[in-house]
Amino acid sequence: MADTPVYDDKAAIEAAGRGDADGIAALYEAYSPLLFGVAQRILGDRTLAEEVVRDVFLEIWTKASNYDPSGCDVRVWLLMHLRQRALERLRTGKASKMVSMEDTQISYVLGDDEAPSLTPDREQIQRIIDLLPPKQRNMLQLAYFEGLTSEKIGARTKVPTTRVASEIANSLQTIRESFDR
Amino acid sequence: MSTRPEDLMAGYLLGELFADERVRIESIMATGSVASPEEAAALAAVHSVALYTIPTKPSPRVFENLLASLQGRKRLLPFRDRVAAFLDVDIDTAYTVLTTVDHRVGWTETDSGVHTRTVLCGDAKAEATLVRAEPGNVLPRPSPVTSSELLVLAGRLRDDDETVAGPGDRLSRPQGSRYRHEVQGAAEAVVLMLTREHASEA
Repeated sequence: MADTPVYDDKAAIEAAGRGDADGIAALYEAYSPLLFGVAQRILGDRTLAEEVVRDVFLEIWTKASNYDPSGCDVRVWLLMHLRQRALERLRTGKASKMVSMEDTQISYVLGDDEAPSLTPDREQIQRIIDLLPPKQRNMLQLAYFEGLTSEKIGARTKVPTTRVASEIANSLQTIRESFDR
Repeated sequence: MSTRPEDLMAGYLLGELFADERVRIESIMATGSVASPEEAAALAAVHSVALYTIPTKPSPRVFENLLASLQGRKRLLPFRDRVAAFLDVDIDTAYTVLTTVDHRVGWTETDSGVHTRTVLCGDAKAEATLVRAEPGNVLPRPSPVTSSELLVLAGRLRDDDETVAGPGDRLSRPQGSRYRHEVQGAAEAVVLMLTREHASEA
């Protein structure tokens, strides 16, 4: 039996950058579950989330040749595009309200073996975020998934607006330091 | 004044960036390049929040739709920047050149069965031509008074030395070169050819 080729971020993005559709297909296979999960959480609408995911991969298709392999991780680069496009779509009012975590845990949840590029650090990251003070965790999620401003987050969490950015920066520092340990 | 990369990333998350910070983020979006390992780590911390969701497979039609786009009009979009640099034109013109590949009319068939279509004439001395050629076809050669540069957009070309060029590769053919470039494999080749006319020796 032939060995299954091992997925490699850099090989996939390089192939996509050469205009090789197999490269973008490999990236899609590796990251579409994560991107779709995030898009669905931001947009609360399966169809819109699917459109955004497709658009992001097409955008990456046009940009992959410019990707700097010494820069941020491919996963992070994809997520930057995904979040920006999903929030843009949310702000144009074409999306319904955000769904809860419970709503996203229905039928299409993947087993760990189905998304190999996600498994190594997902549980670790969830543990780290779980350990943040609840208010910081809430602010982080409101900013990330709803794209709210300091003012709106401050109003929701009853934290002075002027403190929101520094609280979020502190939570990011905590996460970064946890990675380093 | 911001001192930690986390402060920049908090502004990015909140959509509250100064002009120079916005440029910084746009630069990362464009190429993935980061200013320092600390900035990369802070950015990774931001997007670690995404892993606090449940990965969910989109329906198969999303991939089918994506593949259709990659095989359709948008398949050549990855070459937009390279075509712009190759022809020294702006991005919009490069996009127009690339979408011309799928136009059904305006092509001329050469004696060898290769299809060509002029896409840009810079001046009387330079011309950009799209070339579509089936496997086994040989690309038109430069004349005694012209040289050409090739940018391969699709398919593979093999030269007399058995060197194979694929999508994204650039080839130079000097004035009057008799070097053969033959389409290899099973797929059609699409090539952008920039031809320059030189002063006649006569």
